[in-house]
Amino acid sequence: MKLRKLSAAAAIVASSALVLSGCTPGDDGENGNGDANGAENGENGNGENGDGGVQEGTGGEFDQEGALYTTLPDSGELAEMPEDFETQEDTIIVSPGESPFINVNDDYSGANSVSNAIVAARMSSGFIYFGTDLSINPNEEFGSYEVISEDDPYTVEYTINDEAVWSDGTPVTVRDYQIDWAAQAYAGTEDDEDEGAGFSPSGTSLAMYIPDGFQSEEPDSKTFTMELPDFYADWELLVGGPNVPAHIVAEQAGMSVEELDEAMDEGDIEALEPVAEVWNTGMGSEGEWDPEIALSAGPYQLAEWNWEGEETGGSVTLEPNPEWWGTPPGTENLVFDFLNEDTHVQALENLDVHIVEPQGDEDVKLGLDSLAETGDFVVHEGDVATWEHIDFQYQQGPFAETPELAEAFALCLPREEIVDQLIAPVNPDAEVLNAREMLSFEDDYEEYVEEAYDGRYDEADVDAAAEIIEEHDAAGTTVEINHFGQPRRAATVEIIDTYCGSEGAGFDIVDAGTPDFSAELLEGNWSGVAMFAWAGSGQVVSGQNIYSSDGAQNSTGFSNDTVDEQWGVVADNVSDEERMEALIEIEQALWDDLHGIPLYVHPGVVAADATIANVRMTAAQTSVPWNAEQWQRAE
Amino acid sequence: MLKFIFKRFGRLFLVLFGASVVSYALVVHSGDPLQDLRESTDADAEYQMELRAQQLNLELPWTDQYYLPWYERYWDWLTGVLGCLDPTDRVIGPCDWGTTVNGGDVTAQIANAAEVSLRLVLIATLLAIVLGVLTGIVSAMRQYSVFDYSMSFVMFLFWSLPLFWAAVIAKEYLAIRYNNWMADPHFTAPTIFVVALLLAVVVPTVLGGSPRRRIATGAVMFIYTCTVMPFLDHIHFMEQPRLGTGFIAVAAVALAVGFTALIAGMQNRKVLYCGLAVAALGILSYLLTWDLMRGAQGYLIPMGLFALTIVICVAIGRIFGGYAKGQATAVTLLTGMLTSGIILLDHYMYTWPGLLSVKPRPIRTVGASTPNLRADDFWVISLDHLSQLWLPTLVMMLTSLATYTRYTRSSMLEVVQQDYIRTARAKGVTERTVVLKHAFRNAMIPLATLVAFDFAGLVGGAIIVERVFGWNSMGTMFITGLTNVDPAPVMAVIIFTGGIAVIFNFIADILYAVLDPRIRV
Repeated sequence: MKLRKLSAAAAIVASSALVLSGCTPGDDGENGNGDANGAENGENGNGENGDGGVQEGTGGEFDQEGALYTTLPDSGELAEMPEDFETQEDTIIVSPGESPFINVNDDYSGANSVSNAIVAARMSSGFIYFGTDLSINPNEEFGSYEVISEDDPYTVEYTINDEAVWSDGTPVTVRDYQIDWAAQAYAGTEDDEDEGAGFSPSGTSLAMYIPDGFQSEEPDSKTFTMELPDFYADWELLVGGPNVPAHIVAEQAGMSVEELDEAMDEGDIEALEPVAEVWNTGMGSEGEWDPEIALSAGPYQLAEWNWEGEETGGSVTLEPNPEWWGTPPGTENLVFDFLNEDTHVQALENLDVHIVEPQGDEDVKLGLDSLAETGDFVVHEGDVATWEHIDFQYQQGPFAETPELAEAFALCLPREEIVDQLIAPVNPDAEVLNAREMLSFEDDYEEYVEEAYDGRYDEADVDAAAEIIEEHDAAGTTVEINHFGQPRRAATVEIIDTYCGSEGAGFDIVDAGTPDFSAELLEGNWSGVAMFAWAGSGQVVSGQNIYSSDGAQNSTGFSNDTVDEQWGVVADNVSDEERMEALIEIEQALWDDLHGIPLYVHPGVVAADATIANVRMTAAQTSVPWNAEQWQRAE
Repeated sequence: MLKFIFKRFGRLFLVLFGASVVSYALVVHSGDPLQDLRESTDADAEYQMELRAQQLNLELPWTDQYYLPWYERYWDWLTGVLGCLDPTDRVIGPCDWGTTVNGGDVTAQIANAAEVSLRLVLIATLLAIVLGVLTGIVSAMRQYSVFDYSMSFVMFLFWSLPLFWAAVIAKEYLAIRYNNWMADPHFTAPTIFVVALLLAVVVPTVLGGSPRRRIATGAVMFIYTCTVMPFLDHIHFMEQPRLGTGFIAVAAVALAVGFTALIAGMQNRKVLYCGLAVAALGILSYLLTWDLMRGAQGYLIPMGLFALTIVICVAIGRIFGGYAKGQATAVTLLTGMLTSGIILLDHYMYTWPGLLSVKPRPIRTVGASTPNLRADDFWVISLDHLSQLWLPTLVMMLTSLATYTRYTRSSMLEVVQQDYIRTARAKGVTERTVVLKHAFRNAMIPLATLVAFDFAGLVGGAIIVERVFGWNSMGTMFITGLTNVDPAPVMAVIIFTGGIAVIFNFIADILYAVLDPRIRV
């Protein structure tokens, strides 16, 4: 009975509801309600680019099958965009990984992360850039440089494009380079050995190689010279783009540009202290920035900075720099979303991001491949400039007692199998690496290897290895394989064990993988072999530190006179041919005396929304956004 | 009592201190903070190592002795943190949670991360408690029914879901596929049929009753769904949802009547009128505050109005409730709060097309907010946050629902068998009063401890959910800190979560002592 009453009441209320519905507020549709059909804004660009002429990649050396290109790239350099290439009203979101953009001044020590460099590079441009094959290319839109004296001091003249200006219209001049030099020259605090003004740069090589700074007629010239008292083979890498606008730094530090020039010239520590403070964190840091201060000298400028802490997360939005003098950037909004790599595959599928570059491991690759099957996404496969190798320890352990065993180990090492099982699933084109100073994706790799290496360790020869072991009565010798404990390296050890272990050549292979190994590595207090990777930086002479008898990174006691001598040649002021010959000689000696054995180049993977043109993977650390200015949706 | 509290409080600090020593030692020894630099061939690698060593307070030069002994680094850290207890900054020193490996300030970071984490955990826990307790009670009331069995099954299923996997599945279906569907949202005939069938089976089992009544309910449910879903489709409800005054009015009145029936009984007219008055006021305020709410620039206006609602509801209950003012207040308060919730929902629904126009795929799989959301409207931004919050909250809620349901169920069953329940029934007390007043209240006591434990556990356990959904909070801070072998942020997280755990247990202890004098020793 009670129930009937209740339902009667409900019926009355329900019918009155219909009457009342008439006066629901907000039904006029003036605010948000009612325009759901205007929903297609950023997601569908309308390709007003006019040319409509995008081509599909054919799977050549520099392009990916199925990807779209405005101009098909035929080298590692930036492809030339057509005359009518225009900025398109669109949003492209890319995730360069989870570490965020921290500081507008990319040279600040606290901002020394890959993401920071990637974002900062969009807001700057410079004399050089790295191509996809790690080649160093001049950027003519920004300026030019030439060597004007080969003798002491080695002198290079740089000329900045007359049109090059900061986004407030102030010309880019030598002053903007000088302040970077000053930051490195007066790094550290007053308490340090060589007194500093409090600058905290991420490196000090500029001050090390050019102790007197850049030379120019006027402090605001467009032309300046760099004098190297001691020749440095990687001088080309020293001068890139300007980091921060000097006139803004001076203004923020409460001084005129002339005063700043003077302070830098004289090394006036006291006067430079406020400058250092501005230079360190005053240009825009940890999400706090001012469009008047965080200027750009590149195609894009900062538009929005969503800061979520310096460990991970947040995002940065860039917009075209109105004062940019070069080829216009491809898209109106370029968003960097700092997401951890575990989330990349699904985020791409949901189009939360349009371009991702996660760590190239097999599971991720599988996920991306299945996305690519729908045809809405393209997966790029390739190499990154990090290469895996095995080094022998000659100071203690089995290879110190019997150096000949190194040859046995090298002979039984199944390099082909390692690459086939562990690397090919991610990068089907992967091959065994046969050089140390030249990586397999570089231009002259084939010829270089032909000269430097005779193919003696191409195939795992267990019998030959066993013979050597027998000869030295060394069956059952324990060889520890030291590494940092990653799964891929542990899997490599297992493969090695089947060939070199007790079932194979006769060593006793021990997997000594542990994260702690890192601290021991350079100290050299380990025995057996070490398996780890060097991250290539495009430098010519970085190997000198590793292979010379007294090199700071030589932790295995390896010593070879030819190697020492030829490194001297490489680092010296010589022609490219001579340098190449010396490198080949070094490489031969390293194979003969077995410093170690290169294994493979680490695989990389990029996945992108198939409608975005000009996405190109690169081996360099600049990672996939290296040509973000050219990205554009084609439809 | 005071002595007891002090003793407990002292113990709390000892626990935290012990935990911090152990975890600091573990973090410091978990790896090599310079690993990435050692593998670098960069010419500046050595300089950068020195910088980092300085930042992390490792001893230089880096040739022989690399690290300060960990206890010295711990001491430095501890004195910095203890400084936070010293308002003068003189006795111990200034408050300092240390800096990260990049020189960032941990204090600011932990505050930021804690806010995000709490947002996530608080809502998930509250929802899990409310839903879990409700299902638990119904399960206990209908012990060994189809509903009880199927709930047991479902709850254990949720409970045994690996968080990571559940999150990935949720993203696939509730984000990616939902977004695809939202591009052109229409219900197809098979979908409608399946949903209708599902409801026709589920609703009767929850409501219970004789077989005839169940069949009737099921049939009504089926027909209802089959008419409402095409209707919603027809009015483009998925793109332009609205509740409208009509629905809100019905809902408000239904709430008032329902709560009265539940808490006081329909025969108590005073309470019923109080509830209906609140419902009427709710409808009126919906119309009156519309423009005010639309103009909101932040949470101040909605929160302020909500606070005002609570005050008015309590006032009505107290003043007009008469002899039953306790029950009246409960009814008015619940009706008022839930009606406010429904009104808020309507406001968000009104904002939905606005969100769709700036965010065509409304549910992102990652992040707590959408980057480059070109919107200045508070409602759009807030709805964006909500749309990002809902998936992780759902996953966390589902996986912690089971504990609450099972605990409530067993605790209810135990209480219902007590003598005093039988006595109450024998006295002729109504079933409603028996269940809600005598059984439910007593069944809730053991749940208090559970909530304390669970909340602390969730703050820590949120790490996986945060990772998978790309939320930048305590979990990510902890993990990146650990991979960088950077003790300061890791310790901040440990102290924070550890602090919450011990404080909640402390509160539970004291509550117990207050409730049960036997516990004080």
